[in-house]
Amino acid sequence: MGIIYLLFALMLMLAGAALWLYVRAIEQDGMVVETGANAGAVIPTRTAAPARPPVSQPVQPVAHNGFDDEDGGGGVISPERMAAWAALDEESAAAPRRPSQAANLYEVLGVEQDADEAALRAAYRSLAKQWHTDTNQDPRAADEFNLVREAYDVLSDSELREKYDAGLEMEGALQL
Amino acid sequence: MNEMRVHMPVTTLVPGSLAQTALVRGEKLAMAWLRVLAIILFDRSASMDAADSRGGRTRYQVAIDELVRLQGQMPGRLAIVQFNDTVELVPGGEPGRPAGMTNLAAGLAFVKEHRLDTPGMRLIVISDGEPDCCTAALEAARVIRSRIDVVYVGPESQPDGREFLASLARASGGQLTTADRVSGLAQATVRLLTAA
Repeated sequence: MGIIYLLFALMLMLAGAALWLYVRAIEQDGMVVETGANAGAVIPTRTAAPARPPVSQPVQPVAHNGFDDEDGGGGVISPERMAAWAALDEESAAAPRRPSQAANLYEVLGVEQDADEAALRAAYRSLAKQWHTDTNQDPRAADEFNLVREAYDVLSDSELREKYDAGLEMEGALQL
Repeated sequence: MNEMRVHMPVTTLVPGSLAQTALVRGEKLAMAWLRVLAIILFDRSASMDAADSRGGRTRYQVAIDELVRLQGQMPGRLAIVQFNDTVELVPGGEPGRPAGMTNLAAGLAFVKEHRLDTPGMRLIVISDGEPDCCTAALEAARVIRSRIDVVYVGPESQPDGREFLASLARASGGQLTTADRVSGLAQATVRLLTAA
């Protein structure tokens, strides 16, 4: 009985070794099609990774997606990339705030929630001028303008504003 | 002011409910709220579990069917607030399972506290009986600006609760209608909303 178990274990080890050798062969040479019209053709598989430099050799930072290795997995960020990001930040900060980016109608107009009628009107006039399609060539200017007008229409009507405030509270409760 | 409690199970979104219409229109709930015409104050006390409604079903089960129909008929126009021992807004449109007492006074106080009784907003109470404390409910109703209508969904054979709810409605200039054991709840609610 013991011999049978020993033979079985030996067979399993041999099968595992054969499978491992087969996988290695495919990785290095590609897969060979054994049947059909394309029998004998070799399907290339992924190329073997280039050998890493010896540990003693210094690794130079490579300006590839801002990172020093190809897969972007971390490391030193190139100075060029940092400069590009800084430029984007500056551009973004300098760009006018879009009404569509606001969280609520008060933010659309850029006023406090207790703003009075005069403050609402002043904010509306300023933003309406800024986003009117006569003066603004931005392709989304019309949408932004409509949003500004909608915000003013709601907030300048005391009954609608009261209702909107109740809705805002509900919205806040849902986000808790 | 207490924080508004919200009942919002992620699995339930009734077509035509406040949350569902907001989702479909791609707008925020505060904007969707502007289109709401009426608040349904729904009694989900334990008595709603009585299996005396049509087909041997519970009042709650039939009420859910009727609320689904109602919200489908009036998409985005109704907001549901459920009450028993606690009070919660139900933007998804399906109240939770029945349990607990009938704290109508707390339900009405919730509406007042969170300033939901805005001009033009209608309030419809759906209940199957007397609240825990009638005087507290009347007191809470007295300060609400909206007209309060009531759909009584208890059995016609138990007039006590019905009489109290009728007096509550009258006090605010509203009406009471009966949907015996919830049968015809949607129709009764539409009738109240279209009444002058």
